[in-house]
Amino acid sequence: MRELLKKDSLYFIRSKTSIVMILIVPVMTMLILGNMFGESQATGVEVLLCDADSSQLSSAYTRLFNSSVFETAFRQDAACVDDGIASVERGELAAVVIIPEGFESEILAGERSSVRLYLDNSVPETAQLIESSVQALAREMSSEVALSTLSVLQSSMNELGESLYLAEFNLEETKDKLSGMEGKIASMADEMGSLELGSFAEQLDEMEAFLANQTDSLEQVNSTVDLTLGEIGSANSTLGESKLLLDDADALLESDIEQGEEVLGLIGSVDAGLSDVYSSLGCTQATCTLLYSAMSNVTDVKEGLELRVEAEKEMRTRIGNISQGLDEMGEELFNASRQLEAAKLEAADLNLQLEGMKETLVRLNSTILEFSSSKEASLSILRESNESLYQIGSELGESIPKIREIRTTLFSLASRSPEDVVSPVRVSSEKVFFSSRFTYLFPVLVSIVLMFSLLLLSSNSIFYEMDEGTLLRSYLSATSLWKIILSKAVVLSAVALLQTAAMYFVSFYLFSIQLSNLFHFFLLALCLSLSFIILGMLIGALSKDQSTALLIIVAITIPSIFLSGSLFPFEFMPQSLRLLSQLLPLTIGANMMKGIAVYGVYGLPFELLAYIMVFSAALFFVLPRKLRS
Amino acid sequence: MSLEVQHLSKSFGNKQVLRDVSFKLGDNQVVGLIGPSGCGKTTIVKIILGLRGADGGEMTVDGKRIDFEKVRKKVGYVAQQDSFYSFLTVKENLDYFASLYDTTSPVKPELFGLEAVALAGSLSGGQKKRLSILCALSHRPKFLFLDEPTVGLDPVSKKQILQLIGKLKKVSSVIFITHHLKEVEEICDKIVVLGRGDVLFEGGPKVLMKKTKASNLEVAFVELVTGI
Repeated sequence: MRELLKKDSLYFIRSKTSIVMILIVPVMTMLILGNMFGESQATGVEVLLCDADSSQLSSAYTRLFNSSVFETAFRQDAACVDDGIASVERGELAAVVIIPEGFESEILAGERSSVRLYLDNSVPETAQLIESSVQALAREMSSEVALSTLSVLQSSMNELGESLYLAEFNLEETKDKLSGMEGKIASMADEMGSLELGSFAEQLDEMEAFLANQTDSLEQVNSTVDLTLGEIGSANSTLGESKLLLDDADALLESDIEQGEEVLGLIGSVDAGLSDVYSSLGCTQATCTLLYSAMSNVTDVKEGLELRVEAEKEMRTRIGNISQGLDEMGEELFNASRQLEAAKLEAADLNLQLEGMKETLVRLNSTILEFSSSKEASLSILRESNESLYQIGSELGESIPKIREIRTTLFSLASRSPEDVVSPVRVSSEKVFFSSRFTYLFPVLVSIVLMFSLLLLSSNSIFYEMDEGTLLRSYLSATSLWKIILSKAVVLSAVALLQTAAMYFVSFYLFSIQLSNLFHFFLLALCLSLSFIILGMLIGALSKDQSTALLIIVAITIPSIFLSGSLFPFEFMPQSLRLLSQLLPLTIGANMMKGIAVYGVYGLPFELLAYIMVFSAALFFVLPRKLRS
Repeated sequence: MSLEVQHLSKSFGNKQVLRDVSFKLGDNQVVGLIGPSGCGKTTIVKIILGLRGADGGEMTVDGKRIDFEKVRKKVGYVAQQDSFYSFLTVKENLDYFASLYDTTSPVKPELFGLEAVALAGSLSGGQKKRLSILCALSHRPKFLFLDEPTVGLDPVSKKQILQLIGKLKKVSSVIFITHHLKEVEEICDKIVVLGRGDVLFEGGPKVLMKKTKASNLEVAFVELVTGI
């Protein structure tokens, strides 16, 4: 038994590669898992934060993302939301967080505002991490806002207290002032009451006005009387002059009439002479005509003169009448003059009375002046009181808007629902995908199956041929080594595609897996398979025996699976492992396959092609040396 | 077609395996390359095949320096272990190895006691060795290197292999590496005895026996190598 144990032990001890691999696998596994689970917090979750509000509050919320698990890109432009959602749907971003427009105003108005979270749920652990982290940040923000609200409430209450204290002080002061004013006004009222002036001032004013009016009237009457007396005098002299003129005119008329009657007598004599002439002379035609004409002219003159005399007589009559009228008028004027003189005397009496009344009024006026000074004193008291009241009013006026503002704030705060105060920021999550979890696992499973099977098959293919000597025989033939390798790669690729097809069809028919682009999926599977095939051949070439090859494969596959992001999301890995994982063909292939299966995005697998080239170069370096040894 | 090795030397680290080795493989000759274990027999073959580089010396084919790419088409190599695909039939193996040289196999396995459609993996030890040799012949090589082809075979199989080698010299020149000196004595036209990194003897087996006055080649070889 001892020898058996020794022999079995020496099998491992004497194979350096085996012993290294035997130690590497558990050590590496422990290192990876220890690092993964030793990491207390996930980091570097790539999210985009679209701040559509661009407010102080939204900025405060975005700042929270800086100190969290997220590696956040911030944008405020209009295209951010669409770009972000598109990036999440393409798998380029884990999530996009959208702070809506009106975020701050809603919260400040006491309403609840929802932050939108658009989430790639293809890696459930990461999605859960993002959701819970964003919600935690929302809670943190809520608590900050709630604290701020409470601070506002507290500050409002303090201000209210201060305002009420001030108002109380003002009211006390007002009360004191009003008490003082009350006393003063009461004494003033007593003083005013004792004066009993009633409507005295008014009557006095009326009287003064009346007296002034009367005085004016008397002065007018006096002047009118004086004027009238003057006019009467003037009229008398005019009447006298007129009478003299009328007497002169009458005398003239009388003389004229006498002259006219003499003329008439003469004319009659002339006329009679002419008639005598006419009758005595007979007449020739010419003399007759001439006499007749002269007679006719004399008749005309006589008639005219008679008319004039008559008129002058009538005028004398009229002048007599006028003269009589003037005499009557003179008498009337005399009478009027006497009456006016009498009235003037009466007016003088009246004026004396008015002067007496004026003296009375002067006395009254002095009384009123006294009253006026008393009134000024009262007015001063009233003004003082008014100023006090104004001061009190303005002080109260200052307090009122403040109290109103505080009341508005308190009302606004009081009208909020307690829930909104406690958690004003909510998160509404939207998940991008609604497929089963198998959809997200499918690409990883395909990659893992391909990795396992192809590493085993290809390493065994090389190892078997090297062990059998057939590879050496082929190598020594006229055929190039690359042809030998290519032929193996082609066959193994066909096997890989067959495996991929089998996995796809089973998944398609039984688990409803849909692929957006089958060609790219299989092309990617081919590239991934080729990288594993070449790597497997390299492992086969490096291995001294089959168990060494198996150990190397285990040493590669176990960390690859752990680091592929399928069992443990990248975000939970430490930075060093995360970088390492991104370099692994399994991770690269699985991610690209996931891109097709989940996000519908695909491209040429340049990284895998690079790996194929690197592995091929290594294989073509190692294999000939192994064959020659 | 002849192959000539001149002043070949090779060291592995501090250990000089070949010091000054020269010999010639004539046309349609069977040359036995013999010597104690570790004397460099397989190393010489690998150098000729281009699998290893020499530290010094020269190799010519028909007087011309060897171009390994060209010479590979004219060389067949049978290693100590059987090298063919056990999952292929006898004919498939022959066809495969012929195809590596862009030709078809002229070998009729039935003539060598092999069933064409039999899976190689199911053959007996002797049959496997024969198939291994036939695979090396499938492209009609001018030189054939056989590295201990009879190891582990029963006497009947050994006999059959030796008969086969005897027939091969009609079409190829053969270097036959073995420790079984009776087989050498039986089929080789010439032997090259290696020892201490040098060629101790080159010539016919009978010449060596005569030279050492030994009754058989085995005794002559021991005397030559050990000096006893």
